[in-house]
This record gives sequence, structure tokens and C-alpha cells, in this order.
Amino acid sequence: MIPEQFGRVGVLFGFALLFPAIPLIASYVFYRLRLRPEHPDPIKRATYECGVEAEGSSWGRFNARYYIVALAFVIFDVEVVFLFPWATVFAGMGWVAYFEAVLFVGVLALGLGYAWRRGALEWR
Amino acid sequence: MSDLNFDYTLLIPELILAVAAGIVLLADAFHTELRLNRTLLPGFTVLAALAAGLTSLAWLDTSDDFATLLAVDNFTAFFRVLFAFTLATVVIGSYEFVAREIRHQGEFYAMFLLATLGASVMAASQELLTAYIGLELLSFSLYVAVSLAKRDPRSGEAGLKYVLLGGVASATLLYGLSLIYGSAGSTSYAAISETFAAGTANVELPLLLGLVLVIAGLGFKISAVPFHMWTPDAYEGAPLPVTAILSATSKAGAIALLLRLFSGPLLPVKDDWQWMLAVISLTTMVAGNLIALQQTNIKRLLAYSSIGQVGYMLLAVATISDASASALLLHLGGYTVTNLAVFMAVIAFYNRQRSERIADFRGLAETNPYLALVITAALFSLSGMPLLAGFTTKFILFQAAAQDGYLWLVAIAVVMSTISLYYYLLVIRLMYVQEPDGAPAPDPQTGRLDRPNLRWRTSPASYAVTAVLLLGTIAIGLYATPLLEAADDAAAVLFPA
Repeated sequence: MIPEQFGRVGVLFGFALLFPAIPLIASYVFYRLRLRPEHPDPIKRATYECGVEAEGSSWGRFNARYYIVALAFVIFDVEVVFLFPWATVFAGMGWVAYFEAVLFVGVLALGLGYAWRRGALEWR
Repeated sequence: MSDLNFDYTLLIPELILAVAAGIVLLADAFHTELRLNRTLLPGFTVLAALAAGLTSLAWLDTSDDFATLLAVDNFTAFFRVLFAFTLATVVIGSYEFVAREIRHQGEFYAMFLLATLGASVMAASQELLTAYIGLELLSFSLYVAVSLAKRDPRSGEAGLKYVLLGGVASATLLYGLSLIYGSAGSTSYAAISETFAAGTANVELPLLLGLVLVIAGLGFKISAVPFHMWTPDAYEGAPLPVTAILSATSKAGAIALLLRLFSGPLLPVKDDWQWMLAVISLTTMVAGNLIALQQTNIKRLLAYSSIGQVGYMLLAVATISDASASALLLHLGGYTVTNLAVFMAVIAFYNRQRSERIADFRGLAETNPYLALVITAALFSLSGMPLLAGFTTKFILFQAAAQDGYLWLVAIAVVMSTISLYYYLLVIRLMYVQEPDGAPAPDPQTGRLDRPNLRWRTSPASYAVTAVLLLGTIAIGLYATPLLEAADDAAAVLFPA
């Protein structure tokens, strides 16, 4: 029973590997057979960035200071992750749930205050 | 929902630690506005540790649980007190070290408090994910604490190695827990135990995979061979007090989790995991003790010696029963006291000599006979010499394991114990037989020794804390009954008769 379940997952995994590979291989084969036209131009060769024009090279460096901002972002990330499920049961639970959420947000606010005080939000 | 017990008073020791950690962090960040003297931080941390340890005594001989997630019973109380004691001891013994070596003191003490909190949660947890969260809290605090000696490049290296390997180990453990959840259909220890007791024929493969991954993940945390590679580097690079916490709180927490896990939910499938733990126990004590023979740095020596000790402890987990669980708790108590005695003495030594090379312990009996005595007693105790804690606890541990049918493993453990005496004696020989650096040779004509006074003193705080630990080591060796009774009471929770 269990090997069968792992087998199903294995089939899906194999398919997931093959699926993107098929068009790539087909494209190459058609190119070799001269079935596929080849007219490259800069727009066609550009990296697809959800319709936004790509800025600079993909090998560009990021400033290491971004990581502190990313860490501070985690505070809000966690807040949202837990406040959404809280919001769905809030109506049924009344004031207890309200104060629990206040406490939770208060702890996160302390964290943000700490990061602020230690200069994590200054661009130095 | 409403039939769960949400009695928050059960968590008072944990709440004290959590609130204290927050206060320490904020007090350090806002100390100029609040006109606080930062030297108060270690004192406050010790107070919080003592408060947590004393309040946890209120639930002795009771059995209760918080929303079926955390059990509050004798087992939890044993570990709460052990962790609080460790925290208070390490902070008292190392505040001078911290004041000189660590720039971010508030964060340092807060990380210690949070690590203690995480370890308490691990010891109390009754559910896989709660245990995992406790483990992560402990690990994350220690990842930060290891890299806090910012002036020492080794500290950063140790922190990076520890966080990368630790992250992989946590992921391994989590995958293992998910497979166990998949085969049992619940994360609650009680429910898993029921399901597995009813038969596991349908789920043999994922269960076995899950056990392998859980043992690998937890094996990393207690640095069992072959998952020990991070230990020497992290121990060497971490500031000394963090090394002490790594070898005491972190190990004891993981052992508590192992005990809860393997004596409860996984006991029905004992045949599947017993041989794995026996093999790991064997490799751990052999490799740990043999590699320790060639170390030149005291922290690396203690790292490998602690790996060897973990091998003995795993021996008791592999042969789990009422008697061996109680013997393991006793050994853990004795080991913690002894190990802290070594570390506090080494911190006192480092404060003066600024060195962690074993060679620099040369002639310590001449320059500071008291510290030499503490280190000697503690090292003898670690190797298991009679009259000291290590002998009594190891004797009871090996006896319990031998009665459960692992006589060959116990025989190897005894041999390894003897081998460990050799490398401990190397340190002791340096301290007592060799002359200290700077001592002149005797006058060739008269043969008289005209030596300058090389004596130096230990600070009162480390003097007091090492004295307490030394007395503890001797007391457990001579009269282990109180600790043994506490361990018996704690182990009785795991095996209700």
C-alpha cells in the first residue's frame, strides 16, 4: 500500500521533470531539422520578467544591507500569516481572542522597536 | 476546544524565562534612556533562572498537561531545575569573560534565556511539533550565541558551520517527524503510541524511514557519531560560556526529547529502532574517545570527550526501560555538574591566561593549585574514578544497560571509559608534573630553587561557583541517593506502572 503511494508520487515527479524538458528538446530538434525559423531580435532574447523590462545584468550584486531589511520584513510576514487564521475565528471567540491577538502583535511590535533602536532601519 | 486545559499557571517557569529574555534585550537596547547600568544584566539573568527553577518545584509529584501539548510532571520538573541550574551557574561563572569578550551583552544573555526556554519546552512536550519548535528555539538561540564573539574570526566560522549543518539536521528531523505523523495519523505522543501498539504492518516502510531520519536529526543535535562533524569546530569557535551551554543544556534537552519520544510513542516499535541506537552508541563512544586522544586545544578535547559521554547516554536510550531511564537521568545530572565544573574552571583560567591550548595548563598546580584541583577532580569524575560523581552515575548506568541485555556494548563502554582516562590524565600530568612557564631552572651549583612567586588568584565569583560544582561532584559521588530518588521519580512518569 505504502510503496504504491510512493510510486504515484514518483510518477508525478518523473512527469514534472519531463514536462519542461520536452519543449526544449523539441525546439532544438526542429531547429536542427530546419523546421523552426530563426530570427533573433533583442526583445525576443530578453529575460522574461512578468512584462517588466529587465534592469541590468542578472549577475549584478545586491547590497548586503538588504538582509537586515529582509529580516525586519519577516516580522510583518509572520504577523500576516497568523492574523488571517485568527480573523476567521475571531467573531466566535470574543474578547479573549482579541486580547490574545493584541499580545501577539505587541510582542512583534517590541521586536520591531528593538530592531529600530539598534539602527536596523537606517541605511548606513 | 473547551475540554482542553488552558491553565497558564502551569507555564510560569517558561513565562518567566521568556519575559526575562525580552526585558534583557530591551534593557540593553534602551540602557541610555533608562539610565541602567549594563552590569546588572547578568545579575538579572541569574535571578530569572533561579525564579524559573524555584517555581518549577511547585509541580513536584503532580501530573498535569497544558492543552495536551506540554506535560508538567516530575520529568519536566527535573529538567526545568537542571536547565535553570545550568543557566545560573554559567552566567555567574562567566560574567567577567562576557564583559570583556562580548560586545552585545544583552543579546548574549537573552539568547541564553531563550535557549533554556527552548530546552524546557523540549523536555515537557507531548507532541511532535511542539517538541520541534522547542528544539528550533534552542538551536536558533545557540546559532546566534556561537557567533557573538565578534572579535574572533573563529567564532563567525563556527556560527556559519553550525547554522548550515544545523539547518540541514532540522530539516531531516522535520521530514522524519512528518513520516511518523503520516504513518501514525497524529502528532500527539499518546495517539501515536496507541496506533503503533495496534500494529504497524501497513506502514513499515515510511515508519522505518521516519525513524532513520529522526535519529539522524536528533543525533546531530546531541553530536552522535557519524553526525558529529560540527561539534569540535563549533565548540572551538564559540565563546567559552556558549560552549558550556552547548555541552550541557543543548545535550540534556535533546536527551530529554529522545527519552520522551522513545519511551512513549515509539516504544511499541522498539524492535525497529533499538539496533540503530545501539550501533550509533557504539560508534559514538569509540570515535569520540579515540579522536580525543590527539587534541591540543582544551575546547576540542572537551568536545570529543562530550561526544564519548553521549555514546554512554545513547546506550541507556537503546536499552530503554524504567531502570535505564532513571540511570540516564542520574548520569545526566552528574555529568552536567562535572562538565560545568571543568568549563567554569577553564573560563577562570582563560580570564587570566588568555589561552585555550592544553600545553598552557603546564604547571597550573604551581600557579593556581585550587583551579588545578577543580579541573583534576572534574576530569577524574568524567573518566569515572571512584568517590566522584562520574563513577557512581556511570556504574548505575552501565548496570542498568547490562541488565537489559546489551552486555557486549557495556563491555566496550567500560573499555572506552578506561581509554578516556588517558587523555584526561595528560592534562592532569601537565598541571601537576610540569613546571609553569617562566619558572627558572634550579641553580646549578647549589641545586636550590629560587623561584619567583607565580601564584595568581581566581575572582570571587568563579571561586564560589567552582567550589559549589566541586562539592557537587564529590557529593554525588559519595551520596547519590537524593539525586537518584529525583531521577527515579522523573523516570517513573515515563513508565507508569
